[in-house]
Amino acid sequence: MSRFFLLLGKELREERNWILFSSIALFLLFALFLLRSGKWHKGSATVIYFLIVSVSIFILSIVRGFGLLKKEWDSRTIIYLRSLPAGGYEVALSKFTSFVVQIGLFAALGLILNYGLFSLESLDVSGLGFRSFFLVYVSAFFGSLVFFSVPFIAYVVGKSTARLGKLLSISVLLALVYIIPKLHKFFVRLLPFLPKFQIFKPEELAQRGLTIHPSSADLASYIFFTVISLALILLSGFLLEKKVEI
Amino acid sequence: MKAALEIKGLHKRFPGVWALRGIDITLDAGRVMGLVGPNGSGKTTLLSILMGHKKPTKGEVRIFGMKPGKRVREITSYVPEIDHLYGWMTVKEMADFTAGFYRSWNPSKFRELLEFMDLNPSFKIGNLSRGMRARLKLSLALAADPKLLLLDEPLSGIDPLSRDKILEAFIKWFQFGEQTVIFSTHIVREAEKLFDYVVFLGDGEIILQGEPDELRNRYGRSIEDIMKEVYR
Repeated sequence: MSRFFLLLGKELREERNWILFSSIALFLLFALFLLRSGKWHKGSATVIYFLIVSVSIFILSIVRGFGLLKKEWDSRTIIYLRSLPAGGYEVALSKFTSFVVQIGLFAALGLILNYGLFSLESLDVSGLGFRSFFLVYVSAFFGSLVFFSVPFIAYVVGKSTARLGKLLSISVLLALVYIIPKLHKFFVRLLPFLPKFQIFKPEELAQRGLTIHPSSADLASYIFFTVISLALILLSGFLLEKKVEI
Repeated sequence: MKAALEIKGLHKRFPGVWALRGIDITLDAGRVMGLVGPNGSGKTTLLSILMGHKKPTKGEVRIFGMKPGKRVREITSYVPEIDHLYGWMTVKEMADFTAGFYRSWNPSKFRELLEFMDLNPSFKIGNLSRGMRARLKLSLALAADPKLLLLDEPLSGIDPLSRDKILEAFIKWFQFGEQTVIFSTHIVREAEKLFDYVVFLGDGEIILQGEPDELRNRYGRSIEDIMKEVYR
């Protein structure tokens, strides 16, 4: 078995409690909303559940981005990990892949349960069909890759210096938060021929007095989020191997 | 014989302090080197540099002709003083995980070592005593059949029974003359019989180095007594 898969297996086994806990949390939230849905305004349970899950995806991404390597440092297992004949990029990629699996499962389960609430509430308002929720979930998943990889590399950069590591880490984080949206715009403009998916129908929402941005998702953005995340993770792996001292 | 280790002019600086200054060591393959010195003398820093965990500030390091890095880690096992194993794994899970990384992993040797060390494969590492964890660390390192074994204070802070087990296991399963070991310790009495080369470190510098017999003849006393005099 390749070293990458060995590391990935270790990561997934280590995170199994987290996967279980987050799945139970989603089910409990679903059960609560199921009980309350009759007493709320029609559609509220679906929308609030959707908002909680999608915001959780981003918060969890940031927490995992900082936390997955920090945990190794805190428990000193980083010494074991870096004593094995595995490259820094294999370590970084295995953690990233493990995150993708975790957040993918979380988003998929959230989507399924959200569909349950959606069906129960017979909610198919024009301009807010379930396709809209589905596309936002997909967008949140791809966006979460960036929300994970930015704090991940910021943490690694902070560890690559003996002095002012935290300051450097925050500087890298802020710089990337500034640069990535600009790169995103530039990248999307380069690929105008790629398909766009309409999430909401703005004109119909406007008739109902609502405006939601963005109203569409595009394949170019999904590709950009994936590519930039992989680039940041591979760079983290390089730094882990060549620059970081433990 | 090909040199297992070549260190030339090695310096390491941490903020405000030189941890190593001008270290020069050449060690032939198949030898057992004792790296002795009090706490804070630079032993752990030196081993960390050999593993590639720390980068030299100045100087050169070659292990079997290679710079520290992934290729060196393929032929090296490192046993640090601190607990670095995954506490949530069982002994068996830890062994299965480690085995996958080494082509030279010897499963029958590991089974023999577990039996000798009184370690149950189903034990959770987080529940093991410090002495038992030290036994497991050495068992994992020896079962990987490395060309180079780096032991950082393997006898420090553990009960006498575990200390005896560790020394006995080392003598029984280490392939003298074939494998190379750097054995860092400040507890010299129990380990000095194993060494065929000794380096005394103090304040990041080499104070004395040579073959034990030659040093014993020159100073007319044991390595432990030489150490006491050197660091007095």
